[in-house]
Amino acid sequence: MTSRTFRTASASENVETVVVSGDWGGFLINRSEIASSIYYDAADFSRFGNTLFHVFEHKNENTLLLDFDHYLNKYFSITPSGKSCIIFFFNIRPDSPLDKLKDAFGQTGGNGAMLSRTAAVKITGTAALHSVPLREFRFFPEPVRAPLARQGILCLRINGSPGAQYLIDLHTLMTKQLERISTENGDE
Amino acid sequence: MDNDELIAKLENSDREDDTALAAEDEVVHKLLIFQIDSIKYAVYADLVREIVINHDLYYIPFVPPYIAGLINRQGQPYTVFDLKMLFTNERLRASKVLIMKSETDYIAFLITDVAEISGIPASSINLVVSSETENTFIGSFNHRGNEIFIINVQEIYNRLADDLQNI
Repeated sequence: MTSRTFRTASASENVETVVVSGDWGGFLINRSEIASSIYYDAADFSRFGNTLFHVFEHKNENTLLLDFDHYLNKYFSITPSGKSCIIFFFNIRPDSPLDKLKDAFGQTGGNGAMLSRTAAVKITGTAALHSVPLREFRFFPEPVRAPLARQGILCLRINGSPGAQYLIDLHTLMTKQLERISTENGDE
Repeated sequence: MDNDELIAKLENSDREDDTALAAEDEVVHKLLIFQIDSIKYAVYADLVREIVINHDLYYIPFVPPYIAGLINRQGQPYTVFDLKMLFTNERLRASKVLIMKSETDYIAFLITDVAEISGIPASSINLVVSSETENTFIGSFNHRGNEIFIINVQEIYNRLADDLQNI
């Protein structure tokens, strides 16, 4: 199952979901979208400037990395802080516009770097795997639902406890942000 | 009283009854009058599902500033409009929400308070002559010395749909 197939059904089906949380709240990522993940000391990334995308060397390959902390700051006015961060790696789909967009970024923003077909997202916080009942996912009300989905924010989880958690599609989110950069001439 | 006088009085009485009946037949709209800060607005009461107080409001990115956020009402998320932001470009500090009644559009309005529910005769409502760009209000009526505008709920919803098209 990919995050694109979620429905607000009352099925008893569960979704393996990574809950990423920090002092800023929580987001959800469909486990099936993630190829691997690794924890780092947040200080290892202190050299990262205040930009959304970076070229990150991992297993002797250059990987396009989106700094989700920067994303949170830009779109949610949240400034995450913490000692550890987690990097999620996911495989770029062969037919995805992300494939071409990351190559274009490698040529310009990445100083000519050849980028691997794996992309990464860095988030300050901790992650835990939860088996979330499908019925706890809800679409955003119309007409907000479609624009948010285009940005990679697919739906939200409401489970009776206070608060709401947003399910993000890393692939779509990164594609949309690269598109923004390419149309805004690199102005982040 | 002779018969002519009696007949005349009966006819007059009939006319008065007809006038009274005509008045009784006039359509009366039930309107919910609410405040945004100190300014009163109204919506048709049959469009309101419920009024909730002190609900957590969750931020939504990528939406116009007149969207205050999202509330979770019994497992259903509702988009909450800040009408003050829409009308005056200033954020409303308030904790009450009017949940609107619709099977498909889950929308709500952030309000300062509910003033009253009042029956307003249709003849007392001055319909707003709408333009192509401005249909925010259906009409207005005078209520205890105040001019109160009736909000066009569907138009507010349509405006959001339009504003979100390019996001």
